[in-house]
Amino acid sequence: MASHNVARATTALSAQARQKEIRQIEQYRSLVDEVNRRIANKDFTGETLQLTAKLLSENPEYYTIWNHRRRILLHAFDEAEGLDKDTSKSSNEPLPSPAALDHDDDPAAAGGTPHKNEPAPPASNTEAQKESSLLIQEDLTFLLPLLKAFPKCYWIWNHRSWLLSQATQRLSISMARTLWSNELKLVSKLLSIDGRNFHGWGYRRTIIGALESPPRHLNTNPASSVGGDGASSMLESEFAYTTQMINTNLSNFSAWHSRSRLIPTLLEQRSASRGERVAFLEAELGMITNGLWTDPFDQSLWFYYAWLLNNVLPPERGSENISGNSNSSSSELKRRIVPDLSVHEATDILSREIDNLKDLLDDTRDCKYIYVALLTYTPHLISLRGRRVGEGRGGLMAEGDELTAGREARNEEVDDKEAMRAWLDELMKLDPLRRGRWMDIRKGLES
Amino acid sequence: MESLDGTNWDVVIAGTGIQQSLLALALSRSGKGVLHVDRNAYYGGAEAAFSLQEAEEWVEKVEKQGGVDTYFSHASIRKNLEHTGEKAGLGPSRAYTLSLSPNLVYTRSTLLPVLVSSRCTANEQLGFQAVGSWFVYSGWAAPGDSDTSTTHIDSHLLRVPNGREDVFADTTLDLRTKRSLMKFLRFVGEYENQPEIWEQHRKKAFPAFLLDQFKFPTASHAPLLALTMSPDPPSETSTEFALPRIARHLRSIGLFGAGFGAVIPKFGGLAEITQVASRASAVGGGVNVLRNGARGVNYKVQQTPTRPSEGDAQRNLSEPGSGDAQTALIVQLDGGETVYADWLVGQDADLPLATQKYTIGSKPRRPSVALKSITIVDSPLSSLFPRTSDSSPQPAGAVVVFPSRALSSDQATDTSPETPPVHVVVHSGDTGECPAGQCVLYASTALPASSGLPLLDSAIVALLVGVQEDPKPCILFSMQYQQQSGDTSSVAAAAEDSPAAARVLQFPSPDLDVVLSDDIVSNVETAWKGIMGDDAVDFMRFEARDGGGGEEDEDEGVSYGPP
Repeated sequence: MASHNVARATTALSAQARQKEIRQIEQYRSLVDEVNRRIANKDFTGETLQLTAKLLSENPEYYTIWNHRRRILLHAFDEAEGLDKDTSKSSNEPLPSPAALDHDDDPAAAGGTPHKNEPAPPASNTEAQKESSLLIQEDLTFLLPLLKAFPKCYWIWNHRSWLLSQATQRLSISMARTLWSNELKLVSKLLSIDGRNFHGWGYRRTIIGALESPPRHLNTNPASSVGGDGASSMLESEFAYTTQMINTNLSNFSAWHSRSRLIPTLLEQRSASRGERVAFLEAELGMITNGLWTDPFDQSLWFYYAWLLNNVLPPERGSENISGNSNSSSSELKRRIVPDLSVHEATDILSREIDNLKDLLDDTRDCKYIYVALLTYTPHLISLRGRRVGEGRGGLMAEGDELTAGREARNEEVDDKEAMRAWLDELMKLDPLRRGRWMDIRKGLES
Repeated sequence: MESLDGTNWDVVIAGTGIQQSLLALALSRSGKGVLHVDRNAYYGGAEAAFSLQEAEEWVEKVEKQGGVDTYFSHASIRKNLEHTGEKAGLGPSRAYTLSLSPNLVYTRSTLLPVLVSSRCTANEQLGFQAVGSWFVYSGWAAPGDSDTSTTHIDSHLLRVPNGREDVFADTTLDLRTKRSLMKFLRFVGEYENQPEIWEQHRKKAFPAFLLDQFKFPTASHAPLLALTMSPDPPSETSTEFALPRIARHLRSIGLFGAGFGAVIPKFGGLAEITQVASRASAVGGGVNVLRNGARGVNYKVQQTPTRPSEGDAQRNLSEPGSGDAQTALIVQLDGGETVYADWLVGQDADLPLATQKYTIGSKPRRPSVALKSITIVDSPLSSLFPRTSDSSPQPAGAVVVFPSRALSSDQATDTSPETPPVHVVVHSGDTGECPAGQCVLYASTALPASSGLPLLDSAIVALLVGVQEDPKPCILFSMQYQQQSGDTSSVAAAAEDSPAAARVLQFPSPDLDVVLSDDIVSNVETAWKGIMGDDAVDFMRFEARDGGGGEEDEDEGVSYGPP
């Protein structure tokens, strides 16, 4: 692969530059040795912390050092909380074990048990909390320039998440909430610089999750189940945010994906009626159609389109949609935009969409995605039509009509298969590298 | 100040227009003795910017000159003395900076990199602001109550989509049109690589090309024509003219920041650049003199050069004439002084009595005459300056194009004469050219004064209706003038075929294109090369002067404000 056809430029360094580089390497190596030695000696002092900061600023990808840094911080948190034991103020909860280096997803380490006993948040911040808060905020500040310089480094985002989860555990609700809100502002700023950074988008979901979900009890009203009004409006604003990012750049895969993740919960939260849900589906289809007509060459639009149509296609045993997931489980069904879409409605929608795609094809003959979509969904339409005819039985249609409907469906099927063969021919020309796949589909047609 | 009489110079530059000023800038580090004169009392020449008072004085002067040795004629001012209403009226004279050259500068122009590399943009000497949106006027005119007035009906301004996301968001286009538009935009972005689609149609009128090759209905041509900023009506705008201009527009978007592709210099257009350039020239040892032009120039017969000749006439001629009597030119100034120079450079209006010149950039230019107007209105016209996205800067400029026939009252038929389009560049108070809450509208059309003036007036009125503001914006001040782009001097000069042979270099007269042409920089470079001869290296590439902020930041340069 070697850098995608860009020849590697080997520049010979001048003797001076070479010397400089050798010195830099030596300095770096000795720094690494120093840090590792200290950790081995369990020297978890502030000095060691400083050294890890220096090292990580140069090489943030050295993830082991991030781990060491966390060990140092945990040690510091422990010490801070040790202060409380000496004071008359009641301490909050038993401390998580310093050896538990796993982060927030581990319920035991995150103090799942203590929260059950938690009657109410402390009236004022304890000394330990103030100290821990300072440590956390300092680390967050340290991370900030690194994050800007290396916005795609997993370990920096990871460490940030860890810091925030520590905040949730150890600090008062209001302190933690402030930190999480600031995170939202920060990630918005980073996404305005690079709207397609999936780390940022994933982090947004983490933040929303933290600010909303009961286990973290960061809701302003901990007694409520799905959060008070303050928290619920976050879904709406997040949804609006995806709209805004899409309007800024249609090719934002992350924005479309986020949108698809938000919609089921959003509709639930809105307590949307069936009519509202259908209207919502139609509106989304309208929007994506607008996008597809504007730029059918943009793949991100097709992904979202596929997700939307999966909300329409009836679940079939053993069926797989484009992303390869089976959509037959009942919980999946509940998360659809219109969970009880009838076969009749589905057929109408799919039929309309396929007509729309054919229209688009008339206008733009050299876009392979249109052909692929038509090939993907036409078989579904055929089967849906068949089912509709099938459901026509059982007294809803007079016998003559039934036969006519059946014959019409079969004729349509013949036409459709003819069309599919023509589309496959085009694809052979447009995308010869996938010849094998097109031949395969073709074989499937003949059966 | 000591008298100039009898002094020796390497270069005398006549006129402080943009080309001359950039030449002075280019020479500012060369060590050459440069005398830069201008017969006006202000910098900028045909690209100057004026306060209200200065504008009035200029109009008077133009009328007095009667079109002689000047590009301007038919100048007049109308002030609205009975302005009433809650909004502030016309402010003090110095609150305004009205530019004679409110050109748009595309981010993909040659001017901007040159300004950066010559350190003109360092230390915030120059600021540039975004031109955000292009609008096309839509509506029609009905004859009004009196002979001269028309009523504008259903006037509105349609924003021109700048790219894919704009097309997506546009609610006025149907899906088929969006597809066609996108197909065309895609093609234009790379039109050089697809000659088979357009080469054979290059001379064809652009609307015919759109219709035939892209099935683009005539009703949808206006936005694309607006992007060409063509001074001619659609049927006279050729495909080979239109394609590069649209391509430049599209390729410029996003280059310096999201959501815009063109900028305007703050504080009065090119005038500010001439000031900065002249300042730089002075710092480099040049001498600037106003109120003193180059009235005439004589040619001294060549004497035997002191250095052994190598048969290369050019080399001999580029020796500086410091001290000894080897100078080639004797230049008479307006004030009566006589100076000696190796080179004399200016535009033809600055060199009225030169008899032998080398003409730089001589292709005929369109349009050859234009009527321009400057109008001050009492509204910020906010609807014209939307921010295109969160990360784009607040624009300070907007373009409104009135397509051919959009202002005529025989809209119903296509038989009304095809008038040229009207281009209006709107500057908000953020440019520093007028108080906040007001705007300056610069309009132009490729017509002489008699037919152009009613058209421009009509355009401004239609625009103020089209923004659909309540109360309707009022005109506080309006100034108009005719400008021609051809040579004006009455003396027929013999054309020389090389700079070195002529020693008198003539820059072309000011271009009437609303968009700044890259020719300006290449003309300056031609002159500079002629003067520098073999020493012509690193055009406009300067180091920071000692202590002058050693910023090595490569991104520094063009600053935008306000954020």
